[in-house]
Amino acid sequence: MVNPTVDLFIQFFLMVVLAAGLFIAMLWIVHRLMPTSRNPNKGIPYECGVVPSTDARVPYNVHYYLVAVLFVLFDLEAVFMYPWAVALRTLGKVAFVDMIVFVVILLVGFIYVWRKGVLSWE
Amino acid sequence: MEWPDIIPILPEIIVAVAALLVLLVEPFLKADKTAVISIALVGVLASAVAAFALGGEVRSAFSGMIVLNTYAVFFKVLFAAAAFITILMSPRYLETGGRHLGEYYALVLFALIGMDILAAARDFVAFYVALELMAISSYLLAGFYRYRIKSNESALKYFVTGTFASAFTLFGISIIYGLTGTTNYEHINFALAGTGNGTIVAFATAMVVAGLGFKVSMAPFHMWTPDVYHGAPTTIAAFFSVGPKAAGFSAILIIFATVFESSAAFWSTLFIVLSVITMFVGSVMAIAQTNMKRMLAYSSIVHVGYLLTGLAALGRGATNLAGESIMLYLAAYTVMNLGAFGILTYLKSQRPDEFDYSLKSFAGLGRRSPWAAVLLTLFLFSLTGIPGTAGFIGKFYLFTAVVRADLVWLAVVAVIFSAISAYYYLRLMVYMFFKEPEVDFQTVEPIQGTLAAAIALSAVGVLYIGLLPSWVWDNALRAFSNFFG
Repeated sequence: MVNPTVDLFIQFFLMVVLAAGLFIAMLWIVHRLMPTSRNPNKGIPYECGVVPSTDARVPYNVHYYLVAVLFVLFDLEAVFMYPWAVALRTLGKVAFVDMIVFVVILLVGFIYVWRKGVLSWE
Repeated sequence: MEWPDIIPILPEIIVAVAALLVLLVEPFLKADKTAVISIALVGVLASAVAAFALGGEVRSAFSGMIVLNTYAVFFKVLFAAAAFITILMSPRYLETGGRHLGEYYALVLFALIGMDILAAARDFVAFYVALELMAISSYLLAGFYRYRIKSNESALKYFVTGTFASAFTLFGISIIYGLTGTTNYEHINFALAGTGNGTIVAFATAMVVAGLGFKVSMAPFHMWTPDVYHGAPTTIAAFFSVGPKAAGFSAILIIFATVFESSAAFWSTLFIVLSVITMFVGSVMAIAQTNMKRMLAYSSIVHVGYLLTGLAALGRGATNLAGESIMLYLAAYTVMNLGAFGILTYLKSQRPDEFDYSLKSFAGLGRRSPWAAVLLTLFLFSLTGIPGTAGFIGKFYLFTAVVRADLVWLAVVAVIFSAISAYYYLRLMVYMFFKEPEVDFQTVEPIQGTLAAAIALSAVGVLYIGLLPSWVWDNALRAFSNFFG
């Protein structure tokens, strides 16, 4: 008799093996069945029918990256706030104070970012 | 909904407020960073005082996830001391390095919060979050000189390997959770006691050992240590060699004494093997080093080997005072290693371009700057374990505990390795006092300012623990008596 917990692990392992096997088998079958026609034009990235002029990997301003990171940060803040706003009546005063603390911490980050000149675009 | 009890995490809150104030004030400052440094120092000091004042009774918060008791207080005060000395050490060094930024102090404080929670965590979720908070701050600090290729290498190596190691820990935790359905240390301990899950628990134990072993640079997970220390700013190497290591051990002690209590026989044997490997690898590599920063990195691996012998003893029964000895050793190790790195920091800030930490550059130091040479000798004596210094007391208690656990041969091996360590520590002294310098560069100024305070604090700590260890020992005894109550 196998230990019940060990049994669970074996079941899980079998599932992983089956899933991987199914995945590989499907890829292989598709690869065998599909018609192939090789043409160098198929390798060109599709950009509304216009022929690309340069390589896509060009250096661009690091500012884009900073703004993107900041966007993710403050975007997630909003995601956190929506459910809080909906449930605030049942959660009561504690949740309100919690959110104030959270927003103050974010505010410190915002002032820091602002003063460091990340938001100014030259 | 009730108001949460925030008193048990008051030390962490104080540090967090200080860190946020640093970030708030920093952008408004010009070159003078005195305000930021003062805020950081006051915050660290206040958190230690708060922890000490609250340590009288056991306080639990967040459904038992965080417990503030004498055990947590001991480590919180120790971490605060490490951060305090590191901050004092830093300004002059960062100025000469050309990157004296306030963010540095904020990152040290964030790492300190992670370490503080690590010692107080009684739940794997809180433990993991704290571990990551500490680790991510560390990665950033390792790459603080971001214009230097070495510093970048250091940060990247630390990040990639560290993340990998964290994943191991997480995998071990997930297995434990799968077995018991809880992440609370105490509940896991009850659930695992007397069950027949020997192999799986052993596997999970090994995973957690691998992950935490990385953090404390235990062989065979030590490869990152010399490279990261070498590339990171010297003050940060000093911080890494004591702070995260002591934090790692605070977590190891509590996890292995509670969560994995049922598999003590297994992990005791595991730690015997690992301690011998760690001491051997560290010693052999330390002998081969001519760069003193790398030598101290390998020597820190050897010290982890000593501490692992204590863990092996802990697995052989709770009555041999092994846990208490490990805590005393960590306190001793913190002050002596910070002191040794402090002298290196001083020498580097004097001659940023010429001084390269090589053995040769120490030649004739005894004549050029006798104070630095004498203090470095004190710290090296302590690292070797000469009586009268903290290192001796730490080793004495630790190896006594190992002998009490009927592991006499292991204690003998550890003493042999500590005799070998005399070679690579004393060699540096020989260079300082008896070798003629090839290039005679003078130090520009004496040890002064906050750096002098940092080195003086370390030296006082070394002598205090070395001559009057009873206060620290009493606190360690009180701390280790009961993790949960």
